[in-house]
Amino acid sequence: MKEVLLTNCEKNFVNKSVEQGTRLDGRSLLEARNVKIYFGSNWGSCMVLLGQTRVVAQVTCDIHQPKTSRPNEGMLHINVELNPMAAQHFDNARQSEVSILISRQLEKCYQDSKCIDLESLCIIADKKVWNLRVDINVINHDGNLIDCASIATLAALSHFHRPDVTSNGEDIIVHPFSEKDPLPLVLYHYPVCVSFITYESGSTVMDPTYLEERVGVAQLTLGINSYRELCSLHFNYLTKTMTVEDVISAVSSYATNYAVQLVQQIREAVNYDVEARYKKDDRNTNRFKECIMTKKLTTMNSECISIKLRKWSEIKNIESDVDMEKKEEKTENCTIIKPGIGSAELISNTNISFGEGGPNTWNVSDSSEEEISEVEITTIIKKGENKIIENIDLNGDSEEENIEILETKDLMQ
Amino acid sequence: MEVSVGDVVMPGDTVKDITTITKKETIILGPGLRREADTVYAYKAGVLRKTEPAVYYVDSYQKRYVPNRGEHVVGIVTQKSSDIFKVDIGASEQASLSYLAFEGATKKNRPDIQVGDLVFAKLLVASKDMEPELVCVDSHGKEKKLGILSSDGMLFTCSLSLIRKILNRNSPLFNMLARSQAFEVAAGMNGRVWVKARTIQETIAIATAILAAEYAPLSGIKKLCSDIEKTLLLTQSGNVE
Repeated sequence: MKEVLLTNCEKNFVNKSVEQGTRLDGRSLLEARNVKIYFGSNWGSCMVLLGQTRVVAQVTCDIHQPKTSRPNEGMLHINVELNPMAAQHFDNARQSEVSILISRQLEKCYQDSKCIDLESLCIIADKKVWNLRVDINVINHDGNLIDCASIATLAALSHFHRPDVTSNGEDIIVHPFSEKDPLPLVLYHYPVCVSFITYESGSTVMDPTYLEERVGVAQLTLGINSYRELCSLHFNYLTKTMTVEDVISAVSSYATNYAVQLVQQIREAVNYDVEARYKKDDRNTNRFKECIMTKKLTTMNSECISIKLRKWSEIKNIESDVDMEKKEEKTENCTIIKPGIGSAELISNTNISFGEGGPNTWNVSDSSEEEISEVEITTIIKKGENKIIENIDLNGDSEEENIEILETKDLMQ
Repeated sequence: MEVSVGDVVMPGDTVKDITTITKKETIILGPGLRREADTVYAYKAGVLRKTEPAVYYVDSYQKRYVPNRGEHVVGIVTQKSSDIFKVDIGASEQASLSYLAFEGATKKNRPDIQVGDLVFAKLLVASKDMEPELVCVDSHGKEKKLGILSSDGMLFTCSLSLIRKILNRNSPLFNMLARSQAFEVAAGMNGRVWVKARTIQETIAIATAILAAEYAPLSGIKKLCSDIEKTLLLTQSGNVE
C-alpha cells in the first residue's frame, strides 16, 4: 500500500505551531517522549516504547568461522525489519531504503564505535568465534524509529548473556545454562542515538513524531555515549530548497545531556532485570506481560491520545500525585490561574479516571456527598488543633517538662 | 452461541431474537450481521444493538474504513487528471471526484483544487466491485456544507466508533464545546476529522476534546469539556507569562 499523502493542511499546521513553540502532543520543542523498556523471558530480548513507537529486539548467538582479516574477533550483525504491522506503507517483500538506513546507522553507532569487546568473543583464533546477531522488529511506527531502535539495541546487548564455552585441545564444549552460568557481554561504552528535525522556520525539534518527521526539512541523528563522546552522526536534507545553519552546534550539548540521562535509565532498567534473574525473583520486574496490562481498553487509558494540550498531562499528573497523598488538604487540589487582568479562577483538579486509580465515578452523587463530609471533618480537626496549641501556650510548658523529667528518673531507677 | 440484543458478540454467534420472530415485518440487518438460510450470524466482534422498529447491527471498534453509499467523508486529493480528481478516503481503493461535481462548476470554470488539499464529500457510489465515487453537491446542485476544506485547519485520524459516537445526535460534545469555543469541524465517517479554530492552541484543544471523548462516558463529557476549557486557559496564561 502506498503511504498516505501529506496534506497541505497538516504541513501548514505543524509549521505554524512549531514556529509558535508548541507541538501537537503538548511537548516543548526540545523534549523527548517517555521511554519504557520491557524484557522478555530470554536473555537479550526486550521491547522498547518511545511514545507510541514500539520496537522489539532480540540478540542471538552462534559459532562461526571468523573473517580472515580479523581472525581473533567475534562478529556483530544488526538487522532491522520493517513489516506492514508497523505502518501500512512498509513492504514486506523487499528490504526498503528506510530499513537499510536504520541498520547502517546502528552499525555505525555500535559496530564501528567498537563498543563491544569482540576479542572476548573469540573461542579458537582463526577457527571459531561467536557471531552475535541483533534482530530488530518494528511493531508500531510513530516517528523516530532510529532512536527507539538504538535504545532497544543497547538494552538487548547489555542484557544478553552467552553460554559458557570450554575447550579441551581440539574439541570445544558449549555448556547449556543448566550446567554453567551464562556470561554477559563486555561493553566498553554505551552509545545511544538522539534525533532532531529542523523546520523551514529554522526551529529544531527533538524526538519527532511521524507527522513531524514528514513535515521537516532536515534531519540530524547524533550517536552519543555516556562519556559524552560522539560515536556517529547523520545529517540529511529532506527537501532541496532549504539551507539549515548551525543545527549541530545548537543542539549538541543538549543532546549529550539527554543521552547521558537516557543511558543511565537504560542501564538501571537492565541491571534491575538482570539482578532479578540472578535471584530468580520475578516480582516487580518489567516483563512483556506488564506491558500488556497497561494497555487494556477497560482502563480508559487516555495516554494513547496523540494530540494534547501542553498542560493537559500536567493537570493529570498533579491529580495523581494528590490522589497518592489521600487528599490531606483540600486546598492542594486547587490552583488559581489568571486568565486575564483582574480576574482569577479557582480550578479543582479532581479528574482522574477509575482505571488509573482515581475514584469511582459511577455513583457520582454518593461520592460527592462523602467528599463534602470529609471537608467538614477536616475543618473541625483543624480548629481543634488550633485550640490545643493555644492551650499549651496559655498553660506554659513547664508542667510538661517536669513530668518528662520524672518519667526519665523513674526509668533510671 | 446464541446471543440477544445488548450482548457482546463474537464472529460466528447466532442472533436469537431474529430467528424467533414470526411476524411479517421487515428486518434490516446492519453492518456485522449476515443471513445464511434461516439463521443470522454475526461476522464482527462488538456489541449487538437494535434500533426501532427492527434494525440490527454490531457496534464494533474499527479503524479501517469500508465505504457506504451516502456517507460523508474527508478525503485527500492525490491526483489531478483531465476530468476527475483521485481522492484518498482511507478505503482499499481511491475514490474519484468529478470536477463538475462542485457548486457552480462548468467545463470552463474549474474548481481551484491542488494535490494535497482536503475535500469534504459525499459518497455517491460505493459498491463492492466498483471504484467509489464522490460528489460535493446535493441533488439540487447546491454545496451546503460540502466542498474544499481550508488548509488553515488541522487534520487528524481516529477510530470509526469515535466518529459515530461524536456524530450521534444524543452526543453533547459539540454543543458543550461550542458554548465556550468558536470552531469549525468536519468529521468524516472514514475516521478523519478536520478542525479549525481561531488559534493553534484552541485548535489543539478541540482536537484533544474529540480524542478524549473516546475514553469518557456520556455523563463525563460535561466535565471533560470544562477540563479542556480550563487547561486551555492555563496554557494561554502560561504563554503570556
